[in-house]
Amino acid sequence: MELTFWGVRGSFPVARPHARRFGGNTPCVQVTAEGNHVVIDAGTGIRRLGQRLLSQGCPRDLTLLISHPHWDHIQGFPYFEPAYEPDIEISIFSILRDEDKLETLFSGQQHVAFFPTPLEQLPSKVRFLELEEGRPQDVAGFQILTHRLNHPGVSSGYRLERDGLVLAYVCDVAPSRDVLLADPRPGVSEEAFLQELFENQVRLAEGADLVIYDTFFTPAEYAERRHWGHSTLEDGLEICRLAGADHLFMFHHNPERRDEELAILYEEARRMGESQGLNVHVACEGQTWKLERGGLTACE
Amino acid sequence: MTFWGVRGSIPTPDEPQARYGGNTPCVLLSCSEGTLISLDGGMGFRWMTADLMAGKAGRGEERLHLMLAHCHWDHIQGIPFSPMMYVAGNRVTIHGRQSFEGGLKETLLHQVNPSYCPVPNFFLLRDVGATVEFHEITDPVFHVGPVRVTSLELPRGNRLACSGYRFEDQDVTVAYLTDVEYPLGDPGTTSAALELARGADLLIHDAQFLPEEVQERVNWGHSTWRQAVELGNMAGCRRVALFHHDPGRTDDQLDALEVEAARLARGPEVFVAREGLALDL
Repeated sequence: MELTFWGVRGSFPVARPHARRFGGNTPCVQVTAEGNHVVIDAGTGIRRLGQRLLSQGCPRDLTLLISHPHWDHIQGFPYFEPAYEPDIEISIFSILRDEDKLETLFSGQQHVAFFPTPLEQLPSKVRFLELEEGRPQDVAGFQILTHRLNHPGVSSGYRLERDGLVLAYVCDVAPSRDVLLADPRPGVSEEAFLQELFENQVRLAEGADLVIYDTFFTPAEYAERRHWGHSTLEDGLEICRLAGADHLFMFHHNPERRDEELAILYEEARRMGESQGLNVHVACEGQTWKLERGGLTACE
Repeated sequence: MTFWGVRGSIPTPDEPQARYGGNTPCVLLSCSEGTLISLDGGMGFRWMTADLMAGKAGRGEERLHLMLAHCHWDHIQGIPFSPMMYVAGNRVTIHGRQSFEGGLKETLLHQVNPSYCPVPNFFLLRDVGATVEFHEITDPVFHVGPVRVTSLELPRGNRLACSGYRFEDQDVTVAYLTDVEYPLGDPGTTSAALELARGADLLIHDAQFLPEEVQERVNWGHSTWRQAVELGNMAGCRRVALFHHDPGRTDDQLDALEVEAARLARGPEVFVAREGLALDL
């Protein structure tokens, strides 16, 4: 299994010198395994992924998993060039949504007031599909599981499994200890739902080889912005400990975070991870990693 | 005048565009009597207003006018992430023309619909953040403090028209024409463009495409650098800033086209707009 980070920045794209080293594009992660191909989230990073795919002979069937429809996770889609190719089919998955269907929201993003080409006029065949929470399904050669997370609205993380290898994408997520940010579940108390959302993180990451985690905040920043819907490295370490995961990727970097600051946070994180037997990495735009039974290696 | 965002379509935080900059449109005009006018609210607007936070905006005492060419994402995407919008006491007037059903306000509200962007809604809530007012442009001439503003609709092929602007402050004139596609590719066909640009000290103009690209980009709603220079020549402008660069255009290509564009200029000084560049006019 290989993964490539095409966008690692949270909230909005950061085209400023302070973010040049780790990258300023919003979330997009490509996962491949023996010709199978899944893309997680459609932030601005997906623009260059699209160009790369077309230059290499793009697969005819593309699969996108969308964590939630906030701008930074969908804003790259109108600029995804394979969507303009008539012989390409794009399946866009999200968790089952009772209202605010993803298709309606993608269509709203491409309303003529905002963008010249409506979704319905894209030359490719775009279809929207929903995954039932907690029920693993076979999609594009992977077994895929989704669970809701504590983030404003309806947001979900993903677990991708293939040949005994497991990758978890747990983003965007806030801890469960303070505020319920997710849309409530009818008939379930706030306290019980927060506990369920916490356990969902562990379910996604259970025994994972690799967890991509929302480490947007430092603990001091989190204390001031508890309602923003993001976590800290410490939260990620706890989830990985409970889930028995091997590798943690710091991801969804704060747009204000300077490269030199992130490098220091990463060094600290690595040490903290070592003390619990966890390998901590920082997601860096453009990097590809190979995950095998024997471990994880960075590709050139 | 300071360029805070010069890129068209989508922010490009990528190495080949790092020198000229990857933020989407925002140009700040600091006019007489402390009047501040922002041309467009692209991602550059986020960083421009963060810079203002060191001064009056941070204390909730800023007064800003935001002029929108239109409401495509690259011209408005910085607004919800602008720190000054969350400081009570700041006043922001957004000028533009209706594009969504229900007008300018409805259009911008769609952007902060909680399904897409769960931020405290400074547009709707009186007690949250800046006071935001909307000016739906109907009369082409209006005043912002001491600045005389002329705004005319510009063609974009078969797409919705967008707004071009001319700002006259004392004896200095700046014209802002972006996201414009001229009939037959000839700026001479469009009297509104000539009227806005006439004798301007600085013409900031859409230069998204290369002349050789435009045949395949009819109705995309943009100009070439050549058309920008031609308008500058025809309208007798002193300077022409090539603006709204294609997201795929590399720094090296921009260096090269600046040389080529300067050769075509008959009168104006032509240069490529670069993020961070400030001019005292």
